[in-house]
Amino acid sequence: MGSLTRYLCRRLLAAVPLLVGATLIAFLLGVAAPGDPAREALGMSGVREPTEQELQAMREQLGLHRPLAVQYGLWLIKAAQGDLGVSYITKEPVAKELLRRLPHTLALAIGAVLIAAMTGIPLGIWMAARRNRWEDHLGRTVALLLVSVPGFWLAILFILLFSETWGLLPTSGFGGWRELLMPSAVLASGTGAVLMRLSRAAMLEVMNQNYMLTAKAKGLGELGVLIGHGLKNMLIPVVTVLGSSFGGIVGGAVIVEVIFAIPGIGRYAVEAIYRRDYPVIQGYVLFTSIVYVLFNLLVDLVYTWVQPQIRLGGAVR
Amino acid sequence: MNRTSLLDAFRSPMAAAALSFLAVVAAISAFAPLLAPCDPEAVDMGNRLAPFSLSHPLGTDHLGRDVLSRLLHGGRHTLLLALAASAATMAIGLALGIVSGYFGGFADDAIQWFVQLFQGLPGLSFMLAIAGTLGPGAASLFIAVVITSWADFSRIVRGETLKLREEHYVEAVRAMGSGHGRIMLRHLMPNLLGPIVVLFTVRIGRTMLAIASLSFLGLGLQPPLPDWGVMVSDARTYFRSYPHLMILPGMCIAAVSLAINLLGDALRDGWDARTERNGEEWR
Repeated sequence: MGSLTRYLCRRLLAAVPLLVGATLIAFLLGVAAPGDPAREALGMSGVREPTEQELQAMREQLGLHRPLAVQYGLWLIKAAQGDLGVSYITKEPVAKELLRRLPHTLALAIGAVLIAAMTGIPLGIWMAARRNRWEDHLGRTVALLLVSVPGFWLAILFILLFSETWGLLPTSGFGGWRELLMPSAVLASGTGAVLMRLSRAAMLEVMNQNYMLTAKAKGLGELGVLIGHGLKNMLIPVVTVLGSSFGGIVGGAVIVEVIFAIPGIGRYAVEAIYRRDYPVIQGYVLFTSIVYVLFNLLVDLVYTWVQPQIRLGGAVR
Repeated sequence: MNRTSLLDAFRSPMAAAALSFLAVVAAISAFAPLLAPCDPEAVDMGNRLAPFSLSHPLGTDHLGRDVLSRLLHGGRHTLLLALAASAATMAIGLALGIVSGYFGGFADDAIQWFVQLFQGLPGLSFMLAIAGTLGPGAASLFIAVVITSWADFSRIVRGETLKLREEHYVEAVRAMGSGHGRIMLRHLMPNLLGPIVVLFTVRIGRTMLAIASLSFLGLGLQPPLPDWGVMVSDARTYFRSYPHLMILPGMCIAAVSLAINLLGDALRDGWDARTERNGEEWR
């Protein structure tokens, strides 16, 4: 397993510059933010019109008088210890609040991935089986529609139909699966559409392989060939895309969280932006980056496990 | 895809329909001030949320503004901004991609380090944070979009350049003494036209949706600007009783985005068809 260990180490090392880059961007965002953090901080503690001395004192207290590189270094050390600073508004530690909200966003994202996989993959296979017939054309049109429709609009349409008109589902909040169903479905729409197209293409590719012909020649029915021999061979590219889309879904949950009033990390970030609460915005950027990088790493590891050629250094077909 | 197959792609009925639709939208956007029956920003509080009528064919919104006039103006800012941001993304991605693929070596390593950084991080979170930190407005949107989308573009251009670099004709012009700049501009760029057109088209559609989403959140284009994203955002409070205020601008966004995606698909099919033909020639 020497080569596997080496591969894992290489992948882990590759994640380091990503995280360093993320911290640098998060830090620079705070620098680029308009306004004077010292004035903001004083304003938050009730000093409306600070004197020059008070501002100077606050700048020193916040470390703003030091060179940028030193400020970044200090910020990085604190971030590495899990200290992302304190919200200007609530005075709560940012890291703690992000961790408290993360499960809501994760539940939403997992729901979305499940819905996307359970609809996108079977529909894609079905489209491949009915290639160039009306079912295929309909499926492709639906997929194209789903990637074209803005998520916020789809969300409001869903509320209008399922909550207001038919009264089937609650409009907002966070609790059981009933609250999660609509927001997850909206979040899943784009990924589901991509999966439909991808599964269709992957299945068509697999259907051209000789072993499929062999299976058919042995007298297996069309469905039996597709499920028994096609499915597991087309799933590898599909699952890779599905896995790497998860991180993007976590990042893209913002709109859905805002519309359905879900207390996740995206809504926290948007509220922070409205109030110019920069430590929270920085924390959000860093936090989503870590989730994204870690998840992509996890997908890579699973992929290595499923597809041994990679870890043995062979070519992937 | 060379120039002929690019033209072929435009001849497919789907692409032609999509392109005609987009041309109509562009014309409406350009001449909206002449076409609109009312001033899209004229507030008339005595006539709020009015139903359809002759003077206001699609009624009025929560401030008594004419909905039809606002819809006709609604694409101007988003589309122009999406076009500008995509063009800037293309310019940066193209330049870095060609340099990276053509020279290889240190330039390639350095550029690819940044590409991997931006591809390995969640683009949507960054777009939100950048636009949000810089404050609402077109300039912030532009910067946020370009920073988060150049990397994909340059990676694909680099891949295509790597393939082209090995072609005999590049070898030939190099042997005839052409400089690097001339080879990249005169000999590589024209052959990259196919992938660039596809990427650019798809990028405009995505950028448009991103701008609309940020405007919807109140972090992009700002009221009272007549803009589709802003209109959906404005209508949120009233959507239970006046759903058309939100459905109509959303439909406009969806229709334009659909047309752009259809066009992108047709163009990509043209591009793929050529690669497939090449593959057959090899056998």
